[in-house]
Amino acid sequence: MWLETRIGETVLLLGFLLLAAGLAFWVIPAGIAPPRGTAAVTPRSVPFAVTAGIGVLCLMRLAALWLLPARPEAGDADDGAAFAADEDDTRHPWRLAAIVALCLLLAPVLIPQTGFYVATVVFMVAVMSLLGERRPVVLAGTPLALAAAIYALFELGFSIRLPKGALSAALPGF
Amino acid sequence: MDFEPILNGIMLSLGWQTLLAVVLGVMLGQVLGSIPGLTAAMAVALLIPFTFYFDPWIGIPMMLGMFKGSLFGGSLAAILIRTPGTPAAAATVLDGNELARQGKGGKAARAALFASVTGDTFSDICLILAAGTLAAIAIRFGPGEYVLLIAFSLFTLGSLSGRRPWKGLVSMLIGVLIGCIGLDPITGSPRLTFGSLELMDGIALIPMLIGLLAVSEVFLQMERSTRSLAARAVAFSPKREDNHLSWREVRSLTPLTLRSSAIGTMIGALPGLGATIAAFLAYNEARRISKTPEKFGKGSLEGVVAPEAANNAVSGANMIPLLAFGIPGDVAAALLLGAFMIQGITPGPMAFAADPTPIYAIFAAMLLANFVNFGIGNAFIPVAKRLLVVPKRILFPAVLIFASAGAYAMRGSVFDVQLVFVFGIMGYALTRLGIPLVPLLIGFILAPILERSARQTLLLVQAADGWTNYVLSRPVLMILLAVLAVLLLLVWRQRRRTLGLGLPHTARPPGD
Repeated sequence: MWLETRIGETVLLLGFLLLAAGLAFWVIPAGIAPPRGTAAVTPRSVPFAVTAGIGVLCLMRLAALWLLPARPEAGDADDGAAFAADEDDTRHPWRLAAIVALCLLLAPVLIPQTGFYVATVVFMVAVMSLLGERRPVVLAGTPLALAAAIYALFELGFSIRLPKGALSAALPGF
Repeated sequence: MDFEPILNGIMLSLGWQTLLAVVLGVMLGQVLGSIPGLTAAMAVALLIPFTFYFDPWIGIPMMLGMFKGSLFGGSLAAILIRTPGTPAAAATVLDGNELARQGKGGKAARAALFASVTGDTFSDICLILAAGTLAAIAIRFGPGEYVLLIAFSLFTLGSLSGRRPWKGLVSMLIGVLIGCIGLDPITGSPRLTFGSLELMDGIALIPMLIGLLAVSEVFLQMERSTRSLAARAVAFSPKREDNHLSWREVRSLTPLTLRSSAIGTMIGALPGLGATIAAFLAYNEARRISKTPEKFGKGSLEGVVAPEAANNAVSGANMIPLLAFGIPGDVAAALLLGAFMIQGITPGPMAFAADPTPIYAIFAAMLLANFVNFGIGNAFIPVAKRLLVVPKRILFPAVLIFASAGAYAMRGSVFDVQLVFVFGIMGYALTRLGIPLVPLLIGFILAPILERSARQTLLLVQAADGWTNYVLSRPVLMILLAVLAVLLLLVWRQRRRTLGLGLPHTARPPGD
C-alpha cells in the first residue's frame, strides 16, 4: 500500500502536522475564549497540549523516518497474505461518495422534510440502486418492509415517536 | 466477608426477565455477528441504544449476552466462509476454514463454541476474583494516581494498537481533543462549540460509537465489490462425526483450551494488547506444544480451539480495569461502558464501595450468558449457514437506517443522526489511512476524567510545595509508579515478541 512507503508516510505525517498547526493557530483560539486571570491551567491548556503532542509525535516520526537507517519490520512481508486469494479488491470510490452524500443529506434535509419513514424508503431505494440492486420487487419491498419493522419496533414496541417531517405535517390526518 | 450483596446480585440476575433478556441478547448477537459484513463490535454498537428502554437488570444482561453471542457469531463467519467477524477471529480462519472445506464446518464450529465458552468463563472467574480486590486498592487512589493510571492506559493502548505506534498515539490524542468539546469542567466556559447549543453538553458517546464502529465499517465495505461475500454456499458433511465433537476430542482439547484461556486472560487484563494478539499468540503456542504441529493450517482442531479460547478470554479480562478502576481497556469494555452509562451506572471502585450488589449481578449475568451462549450456539450452528448469504446491497443500507434510528432514539435529536454519519466518515478516513480507531474512542471516553484529575493534581502539587513533596507524601502513588513501569516493560516485550507473528491486516475491521 502506498501509505506504507516512506514517501506515503511522510505525506501523512505532514498532513497531521498541518492539522496540528491549524488547530493550534486557528481552531483553538477561535473556539475557546482567552483565559481570564493568571490561573496555571486554563480551558485552553488541554487542547493546546494535545495539539502539541500531535506535532511532537509527527516530528519525531519524521526524524526517525529520514535520519535513522531503515529497518525491515516483522510481519510486513506476509501482511494479509492469508486472505489475499479470496478478496475482490476492486474499489468503487464514486459510488461510495454518492452514498456518503446521501447520508449527509439524510439528517439535515430528508428526515426534517419528509419524516423518518419516507426518508427511509427514499434512502434505501437510492442506496440499494447504487449498490447494484435492480429487481423491482426487492427495490420496492425491502424499504417498505424495513420502514414497517422500524415502526413496529420504535413506535409500538418502545413508544418512541420518530420525526414525521414537514411534508406529513402539511398533509391532513397526520 | 459480607455475602449478602453477592446473594442479592445472584438473585437479581436470576429473575425470569433477566434470563429472557440474556437469551434474547445471545440470539441477536449470534445472528448479527454471523452475518458477513457485520462485525461483533458493530452489531453491539447498533443495539446499545435499545438497552436504554429496558430496566438496568434487563438491559445490561441483554447487552452482555449480545456481546458474547456476537463474538461466537463472528467466529462462525470466519470458519464457514473465511470472513472473520472480528479481527481476532482471523486466527480461527487458518484452520477453521480448512476444516469447513473438508465438510467438517459443523465440527469446527462446535470446537470454536466449546473453546469460546470455556475461555469466556475462565476469564470471567478471574475477573470476579480480581476486580473486587483491585477496586479495594483503587478506593485509596487520589487524582494523582488516576492521572498516572489513565496516562499509562492511554499510552499503552495508543502505542500498541496497530504496527505504527505514532498512529495509535495520534488517534488517542484526537480522541482526547474531541472529548474537550463542550463546557470546561472547571470554569464552565464553552470549548470548541462555535456557538452550537447541541455541542454544549459535549459529543454524545453513543452516536460516536455507532459512527466509528458501525457506519465506518459499512462505508469501507460499500466501497468494495459487492460480489465477494454474499453468494458463497456452505456445505456440511452428512456424517455425524464431521459435525459433532466426541467426548474423547473434548477431553483431549480441554488442557489446551485452559492454557489458551490463561494466555487470553493475561493479555486482556492489560490495556492495548487486545484479542488479536492473544489469539495469534495462543495459536503459535498451541502449534509449538502440539504433538502434530504439521497439521496446523491444514484443518487442525487445536488450531481452532487455541485462538478461540484466547480471544474470548480477553473480553472478560478486559472488564477488570473497567470494573475495578472505571477505565475501559479495549473496544469491548468501551461498548459495555456505553451501556452502563446509558443505565446510569458508573463502574469503578466507588461502585464497589457504595453498593456492590449491581456489580455482583453483572458477574452472575456474565456467567449465565456463557451457559446460554453454549446452549443456543449449539442449536444455531446448522441455521447459521443460511444467514451467511444475506446480500450486502440490502444489508448495508438497512444498517445505515437502523444506525440513524438508534442514534435518534437516545435523545430524540436529529443532530445525533448527523453525528453518526460525521463519525462514520471520520472512521472511514482514519481506517483508510491506517489509523486505529480504538485509541480514539478510549481517549474520548477518558478525556474528561483525565483533565479533571490532572487539574486537581496540579492544585495538590501547588499545595504540597512541588512535585517531589507531593509524590513522597503518597506511598500508593510511588508503588503504582513502580508497578506501571514494570508493566510497561512487560507489555513492550510482549509486543516485540508478537510482532513476529505476522498478524493479517486485510480483514481487520476498524474496531481494532
